[in-house]
Amino acid sequence: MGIGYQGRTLKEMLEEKDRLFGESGHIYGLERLELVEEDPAKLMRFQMRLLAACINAKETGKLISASPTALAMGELLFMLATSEGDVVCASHGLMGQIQCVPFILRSIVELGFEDEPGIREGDIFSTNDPYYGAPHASDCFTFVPIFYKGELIAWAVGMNHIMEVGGIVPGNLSALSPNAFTDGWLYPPMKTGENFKQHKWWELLWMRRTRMGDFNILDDKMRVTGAVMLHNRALEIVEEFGVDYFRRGIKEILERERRYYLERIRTQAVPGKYQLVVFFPVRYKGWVGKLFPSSDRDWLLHMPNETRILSDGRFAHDLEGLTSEGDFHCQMWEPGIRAMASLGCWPTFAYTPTCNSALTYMIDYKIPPGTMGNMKNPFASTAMGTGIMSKSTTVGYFQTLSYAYLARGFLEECFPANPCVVGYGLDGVMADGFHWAGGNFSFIGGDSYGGRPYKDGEPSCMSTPNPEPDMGEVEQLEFLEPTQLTIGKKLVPNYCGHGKFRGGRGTNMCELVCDPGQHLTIAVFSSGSSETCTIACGFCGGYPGLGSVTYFLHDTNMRELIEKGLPYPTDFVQVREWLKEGKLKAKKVEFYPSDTPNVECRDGDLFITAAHANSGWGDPLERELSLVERDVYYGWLTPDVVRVIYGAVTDEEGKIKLKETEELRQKMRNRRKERSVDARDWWRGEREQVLRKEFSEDVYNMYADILKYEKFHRAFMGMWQLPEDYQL
Amino acid sequence: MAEKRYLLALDAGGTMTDTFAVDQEGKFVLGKSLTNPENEAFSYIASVEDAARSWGMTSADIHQRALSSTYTGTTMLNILLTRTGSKVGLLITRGFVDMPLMERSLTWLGQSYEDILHQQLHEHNPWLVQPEHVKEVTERISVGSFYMQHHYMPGQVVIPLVEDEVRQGVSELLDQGIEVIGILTIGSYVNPIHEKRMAEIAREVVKQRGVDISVVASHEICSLPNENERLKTLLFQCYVAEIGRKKLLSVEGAAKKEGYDYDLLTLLSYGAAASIRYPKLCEAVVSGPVGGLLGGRIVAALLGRPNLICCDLGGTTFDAGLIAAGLLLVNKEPDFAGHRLRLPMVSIDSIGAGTGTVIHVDEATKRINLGPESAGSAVGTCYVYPDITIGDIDLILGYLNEDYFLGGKVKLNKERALQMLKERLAEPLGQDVYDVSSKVLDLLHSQMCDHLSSMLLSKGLNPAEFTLLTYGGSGPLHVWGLDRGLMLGAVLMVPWAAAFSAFGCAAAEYFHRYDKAVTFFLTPDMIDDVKMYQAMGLSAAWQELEQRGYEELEREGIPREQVHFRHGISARYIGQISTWEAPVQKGRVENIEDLNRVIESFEKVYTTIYPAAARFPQAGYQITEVYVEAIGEKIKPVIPRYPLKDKEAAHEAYKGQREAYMDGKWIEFDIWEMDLLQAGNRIDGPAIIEHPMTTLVIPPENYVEFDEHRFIWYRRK
Amino acid sequence: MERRDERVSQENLKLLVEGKLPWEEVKKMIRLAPKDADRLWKYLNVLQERVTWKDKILLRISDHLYIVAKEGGGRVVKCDCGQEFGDYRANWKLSCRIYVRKTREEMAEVISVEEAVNNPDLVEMREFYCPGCFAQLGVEVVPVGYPVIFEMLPDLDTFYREWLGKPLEDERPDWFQDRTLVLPAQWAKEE
Repeated sequence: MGIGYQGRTLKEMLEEKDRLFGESGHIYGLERLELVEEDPAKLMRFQMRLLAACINAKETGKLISASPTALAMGELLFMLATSEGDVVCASHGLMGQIQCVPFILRSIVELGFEDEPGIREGDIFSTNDPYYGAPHASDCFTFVPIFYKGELIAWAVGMNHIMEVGGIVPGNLSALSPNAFTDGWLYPPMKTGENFKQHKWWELLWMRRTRMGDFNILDDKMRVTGAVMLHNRALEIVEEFGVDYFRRGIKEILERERRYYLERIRTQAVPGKYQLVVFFPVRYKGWVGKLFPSSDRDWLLHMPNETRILSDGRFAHDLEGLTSEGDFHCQMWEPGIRAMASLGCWPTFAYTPTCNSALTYMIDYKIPPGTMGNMKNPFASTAMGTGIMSKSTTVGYFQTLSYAYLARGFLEECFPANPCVVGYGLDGVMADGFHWAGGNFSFIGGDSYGGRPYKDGEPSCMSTPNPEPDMGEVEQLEFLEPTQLTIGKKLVPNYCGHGKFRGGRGTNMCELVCDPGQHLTIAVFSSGSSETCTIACGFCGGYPGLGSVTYFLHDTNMRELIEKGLPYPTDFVQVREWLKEGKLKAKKVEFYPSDTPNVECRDGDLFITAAHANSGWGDPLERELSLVERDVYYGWLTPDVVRVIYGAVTDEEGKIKLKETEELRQKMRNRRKERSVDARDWWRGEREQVLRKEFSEDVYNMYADILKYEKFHRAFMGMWQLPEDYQL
Repeated sequence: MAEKRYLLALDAGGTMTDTFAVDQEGKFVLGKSLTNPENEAFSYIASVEDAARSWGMTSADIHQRALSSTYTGTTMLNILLTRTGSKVGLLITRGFVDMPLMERSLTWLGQSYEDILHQQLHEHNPWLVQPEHVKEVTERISVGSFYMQHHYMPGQVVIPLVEDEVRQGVSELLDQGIEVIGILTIGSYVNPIHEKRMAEIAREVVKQRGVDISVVASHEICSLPNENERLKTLLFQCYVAEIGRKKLLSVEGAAKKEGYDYDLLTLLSYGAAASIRYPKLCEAVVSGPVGGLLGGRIVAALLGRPNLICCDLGGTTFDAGLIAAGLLLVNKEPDFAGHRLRLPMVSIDSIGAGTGTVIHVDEATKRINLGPESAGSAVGTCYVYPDITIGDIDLILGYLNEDYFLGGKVKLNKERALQMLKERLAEPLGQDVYDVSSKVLDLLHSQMCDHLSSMLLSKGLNPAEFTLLTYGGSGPLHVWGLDRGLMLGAVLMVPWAAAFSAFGCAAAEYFHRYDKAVTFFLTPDMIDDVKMYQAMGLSAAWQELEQRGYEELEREGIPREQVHFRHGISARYIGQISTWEAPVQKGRVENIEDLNRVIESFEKVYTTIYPAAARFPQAGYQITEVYVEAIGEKIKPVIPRYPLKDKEAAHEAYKGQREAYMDGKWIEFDIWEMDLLQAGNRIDGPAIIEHPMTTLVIPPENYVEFDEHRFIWYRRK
Repeated sequence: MERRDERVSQENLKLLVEGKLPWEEVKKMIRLAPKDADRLWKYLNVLQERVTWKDKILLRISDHLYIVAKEGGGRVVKCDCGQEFGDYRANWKLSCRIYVRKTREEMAEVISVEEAVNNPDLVEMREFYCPGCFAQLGVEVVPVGYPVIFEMLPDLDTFYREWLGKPLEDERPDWFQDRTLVLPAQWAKEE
């Protein structure tokens, strides 16, 4: 006797759901939407009621939280799911994680929880384990089953991104993690509470397994409180509409949403094959490798994403060619990949009042086993999979649909963003021996977007993980990092991808390390490296977005400058120039194009991170001169840059000199003519290099790895017409 | 000189300026004039003149006898929306020059849920300060941290102020011809020393230059954390308030010509009346919808019903505010016109729902979405709007009278509305037009109900303990939907809805609110002496704010003996980021019991919202803010009583019958004229009571009663 | 053709294509739901008016590039300057003029922040120009030897027949086949 509908077990219900979709192609086999047909307005009312319940849970619950990421940056989410695990609707917040819930609840069923430990009214289940469906350690999920007269009719789910996960490096995202054991505290699905209250031992675990136990406990209380509120509201709605209507209604909402998405694609996009590729370097050799021999190497990750828009409006993604799995931090399993992919779907076609997991039913993935997107090793690290693989998954939709919408004439919907974010965790020991830890997430809270076919990108305007971007307040964030005095939070001139419409300018945070006491280390994670561009292709002749920039300046003369009442640099461009001019002195300057190890810092050190330099659209030489003039007037771009890239000549007031500009632009077109070659000649030269295997070690290793995969092998051999026996 | 016994209150809306004049017995008359944005002094006088007429007096007669005149409305807001504010110069901490451009990425405020997801629509606000008018100054003050007992204390100067940069910055700004200077430094809410010095220097330089330019430092108008929110508040003050004050002074000038003796008063965002010379006039920018709530508070007191939900349903938005235990609830980080501010504002939640709300239908998937667009005063396809709206539905279902909209000034086209609803709603959904239309109304009603119940539940309040008070044009038209969807204590309407918010102004308490950030940690392991040591600081903070209250009110002509105070704190468990505001009984902490009572007041608020499991006293408490409200006494209007007539309404009030569609069938509704109904009358449903400004729909199962104040009680049979 | 959906006028669409439509108007278009069903036809009119040549535009695939139906049959990629790039099933990039930035210095010309200049050991920056007007049509930042990326191969027959209900005359089962590798194969033969 199961706890499901008419005494069925959850296993049976899950199997039936799979069977019905497999047979009919409709979610839960709903070929007819009876409730919709009978009374569309009533179902809409039902749907909006459920949504209101989720939003109420979030808005009320979030205030309990301790992490700025949850409260200020909205990195939390409350969801209502069917007993089979499909999310019906969700509050705003960390929207991607909606797609993980079906996987986690499937695990809970397949682990046989219904029998042991049992699923009862008032129980609380928790997990953050990617092996069972979560994206990475920092995303913690809390589940409260909703029972009606002994039947499990739905789940109330709360989740948020916590500040500290107890990993090998402090903070919540680690760029230094060869395996699951260094990722931090991973807890598989487990029953952590009863009677709507967490057990005492659960709080103790937080206190002992993470560096910020008190904060994490408050976040846990937030998730439980919100989920229980949602649980109660849901039961009121059951009373109002009747349990039969509820049971069927939540399923019809899902199936209708699926049809709605398909309709949007068919009416706005173009069927076909779209190709996106992302490269990202992982630098472990020599330092991580010292401790973990299997990680004593660097990787150039290859993340292709071939998207097909099928005739019925569905998407099929082929990730074949992905770098093989290994002992590095940027991996994730399918749930995480789908989570990141959905972040590309919401703004481009899935913007509806109820975000849910109907997307799962219109998106197919091919992810070869043994790769960084489908690891065979159950202990593979997933610490930063979200940040890195979102490049190819999320952006896959931004790029694919931007091209499709451009083709179809819906330019206004084009959304060509190349997200690149940066953040850090830190821990230290104060002068009095007090141990503490903290971190800063604000540059994930608010990104810029790329140039569109009709306008420039804007800075600090969007956020990939969260539709409600928010960079937070220094006066709030410094509460969690006493030693970090923010002396610059600003935009950086010239820091963007260029184009006819340029990308949004990047943001920069500059911090002065103040009296750290006995010890302080900072570890930076980044989702885009300056060694490569954020994605491999610019849009229609524009340049791709730029990677992140991190500087550590040790043993500086900052304290001296301050004492003398002299000004000081507040962004990395100024820092670089001041160093050159000798106005700023530093015994040691460390520059990192993306992630950093744990870096020891002392009083007076400068620590700078920057990101958000987004992609341009179109040929820079076609940029409107009025836009160039504005850029120069406000110092967003400097005269030398607009001259070299935009062929625009300005006078000392920054006004455009028309004649000179036209001449220069013509000259630059001629220059293109002079220094470019026919494709065939270029091909011949490039081919020679391939034949001679003239690759740097990293590139060589990348090819050697991905050539194992038939699809890339075919493309590579065919492109360069290589002999059968060509091998790396 | 005439004896002072009149109160004047004016609400200058976008189109009309309403006057509400009260004499000492509380008898009141109403006046109207067309708002004249170019010359508000003119429409002010015209409106008072109109009111005076009904007493057979002139504007001068009333002004000479007026104890106070309170003028509020959209003056300030228009300056913001029409971008006609001052040319602002800003001095800011080095490294934060782009803060006004970046706006903390809050580029989605006020958008609908769907538009927020559709990130293509995110956008920055028009600049309140030009980038070239922002100057950086070297300085930095520590804001403290959770670990402050091991590191810097809040307010510690880490980077000293470089004064020459201030002088240079100011003179550059003056060269650039700016009209007002704002100053913001990080951490000024814990230690304003740098802002103070910068302001001094700026004022010196301004003086030397011999120009008349006001200098505003952020801590002077807001000494609370969050630099972006404080910056917006500062910019509102600089961009809007200073120009707005000039406009208000011209209105005051006109009033004085008529013989008015005192400062003109205006309404502040947290529901207080204050002199237009009040320094923090930015608090008057967002006072728009507050009037109604103040009116509600009087009604609440008068009727002895301390819990009220006040709803203003207009053409475009559905605004709702709460009065709980007789108090207005205050939001300290309100979003307003796309900006997030840091000032206390009576919390009013709005959703885009009204008679103008546009109906979207997706044929393929039979989805119905309401809004966010609205026809506003264009009503719908029945008037001059291209898309189908709720108004069209109200019309074809027979609730609205096509010949009596705005008292017949506007003729509505029922045929067209019906045609369009068929084409765009019924046919795509394959439904009967009347049936599906009434279902769409249900959808609208349930969205409004969810909005209200979320408001209540998120504060731990129970609808059954609340009385719903609706005003605004469309409130009575849809009140039946609200009543059905919520388990409310009672439902109430005022017949003179239009002037209700002007009435609210007249009823406004004269007080100032002062907030101050503090940092007191009370950990479980702390011994009482240490706790008490901090508690002294608490008392001191209250005392400091009381002092400011005394001084400012005195400057506005209110003697100390007429001033009294309300005290409160904002607190949280250590580690939390949000705080909860709790009023305290006693504004002093003299012993450990007092202190415990302060903590209890926080726990009380917290546990009314959250279950016990959400408590975390083990972490200890942090008191982050204290506030004081300094109240000066001021006479209030009295709502008149009328002799009760019999239940049976006078015959001339009866206008005949009309068919209207409700719950799946056509029903004959009696039609009544509201102005002809009297205290004591009872009207049974099915009935519709019409008024030039509004329409009240009463289903068969309901009836209404006009009480001795001619308040309309909506009841179930 | 079906009734014009005037919610989006051809004039506004033209302005949008030129990047001159006021943001307030663009926002209205973004909010439009459902979208105007005849958008593509209006769009193709706008585009066709912008070019001097007569070949019928079937689809726009990039700022400057269109798939056009040739008089004598065939579907080729064409630049608005008139330059043709051959059969649309082969990546047009292989019919471009190409300039590759291999060194830091060369990349630093277009990456205007030196810290963000890519690592030449990992990637090269390929710029693809139109041999006719030398507009920059594409940029790739990839490791040396990486096969040219084919950003978009539309399934034209499905599009016109199933999605638009207006099948093209010259439908063929093999119109949706990647022919990019034909060129290198040919070049190799001729080497």
